[in-house]
Amino acid sequence: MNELALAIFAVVLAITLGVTYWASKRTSTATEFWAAGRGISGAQNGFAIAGDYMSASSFLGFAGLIFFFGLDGFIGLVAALVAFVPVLVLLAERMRNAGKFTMADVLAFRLKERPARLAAALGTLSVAFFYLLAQMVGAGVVIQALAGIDFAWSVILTGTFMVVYVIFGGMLATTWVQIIKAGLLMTAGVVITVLVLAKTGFDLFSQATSQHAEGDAFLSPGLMHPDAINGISFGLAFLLGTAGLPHILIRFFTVPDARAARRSVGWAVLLIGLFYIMIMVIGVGARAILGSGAEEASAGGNLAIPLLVEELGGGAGTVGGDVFLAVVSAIAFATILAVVAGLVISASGAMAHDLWSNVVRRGEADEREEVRVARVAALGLGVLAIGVSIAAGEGFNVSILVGLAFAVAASANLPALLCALFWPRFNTAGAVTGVLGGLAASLILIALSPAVWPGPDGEGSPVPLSNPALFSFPIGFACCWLGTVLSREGRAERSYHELHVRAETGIGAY
Amino acid sequence: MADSSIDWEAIERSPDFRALVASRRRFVLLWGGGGVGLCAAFVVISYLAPDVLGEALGWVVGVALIVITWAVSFAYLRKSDAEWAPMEERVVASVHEPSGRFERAGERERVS
Repeated sequence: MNELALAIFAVVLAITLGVTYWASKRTSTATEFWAAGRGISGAQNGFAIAGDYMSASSFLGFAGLIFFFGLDGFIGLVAALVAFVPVLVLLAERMRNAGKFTMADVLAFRLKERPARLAAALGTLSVAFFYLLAQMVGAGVVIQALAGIDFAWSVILTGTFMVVYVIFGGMLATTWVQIIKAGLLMTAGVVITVLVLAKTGFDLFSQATSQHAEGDAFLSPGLMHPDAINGISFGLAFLLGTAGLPHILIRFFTVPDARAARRSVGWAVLLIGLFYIMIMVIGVGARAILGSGAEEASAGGNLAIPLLVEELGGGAGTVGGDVFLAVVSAIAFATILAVVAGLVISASGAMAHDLWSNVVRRGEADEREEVRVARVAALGLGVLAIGVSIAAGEGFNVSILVGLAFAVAASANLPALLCALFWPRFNTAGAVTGVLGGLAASLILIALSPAVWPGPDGEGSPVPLSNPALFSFPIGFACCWLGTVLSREGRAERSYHELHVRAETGIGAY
Repeated sequence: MADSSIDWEAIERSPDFRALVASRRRFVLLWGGGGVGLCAAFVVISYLAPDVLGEALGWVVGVALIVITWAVSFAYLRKSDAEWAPMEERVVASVHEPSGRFERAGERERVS
């Protein structure tokens, strides 16, 4: 075991528990629980979005992909940042203006309440579940490798803290855990980038290609995706999926008004863009400094950054190397904790506010009941996620799950959300078929893909796609359209006109 | 709760509201669509015509797309504060103006 890493883990956990205790004194109503009392400023929310979005897959995963495949990894990162353009110009202010606690609030605004919420909650829970599973398995693998804590215990530790933040501190604790994590991650990014450049100078690209077996191919597309269709689908999943991620969209309910909502995206793209440029330097630097000899030790690339910082600190076994490794491990741990807490609180909103309050109790539940159900739901989700992650085990391919989460977000959530906001004729049947169709398309295509069928990396799978977004996203939209034009529906309580005016102007916003 | 005391369709038809929506839509289609379109083109060209982005050009284009994202976001925030926020305020103010132009005659549409 790495004692130093454990000591720094303990410090990180102690700070977050302090934040949770402070937040718990300020969290009792539903608005406080899910929206932090709508008192988060634009800049704070920008940091929190960055902390919510930059998961272990951004920090460790993409750096590893660049280390292995060069440009292909960077293309995914660029798509994941440009994805915030539609979030900013189409969704941020409109979510804030028309919603209360959940994505379903906006979707169900002008549709039949119960079926629309049921469908939207299903979309939210599916994305949250796959994303949660990916992060928890990732946490287990990374903590086991870095701190020497057994996989199952690493997962239990992560799951326990995420549930504690959400149950006791609600969105306020989650927000501040995300802000602190974003600060830690950005600082780590700057330090590692400076150290890499100090070691390689500015010709790190030519040093990297000389260290790669494929040479100059490292700088061109295609190493990771020799198949054009797979490369395009992978990029599009990130470009489109972000705008359908429920844990990102609910962050816009935590600010006082639409102005703060849009400014928070401005802060988020600034921070995330800077971080991604640093990840590019770090990933290429890892190739230049570590060379091909480190490929096996990097465990599929996920441990490229830890290996790199160990080397930058003086090498394995040196004091500097140990300290650097311990600090980066703790930051990776904090990174995962902040993301999973955001996922659990978004899922608790779908379970308590959408399913329990509005579908089961038909709006009869009061706020206290809603929050109580949310806390129970968070606990249940935590236990379920821990159980499934341990059962799935380390063998589960983390990047498949993240890709699946983005693909489901792009295919099930985004088309229905955009239609609800911008298509006057859209109706409840369209929303239900859109969410279910997009969900089914992405799940079926994944199940038939080489990654799952008939076992990891099995051959002879019916669908050669590693990520379904290229096809499941248009299918999701087609289902929205088809369900709408094939059905006839009486007038809903609230018209599209009301949603349109309120979303554009903020009249009557919560 | 449906606020049936407000005639939403009349607001939708009002010149102030239409000017706001039209101005914002122009920006979103041109700059938002442009940003996403460029990125989609980057992804598609990377894999369908990889030679175009050989010689490390892909990295330059990628960083340029990050800078473009910053620029589009900054422009959107500037325009929101300078142009659209005052237009929104005019629409909001007109809803409650004494002329009662956007109030409904009766609660004809309440559905329980």
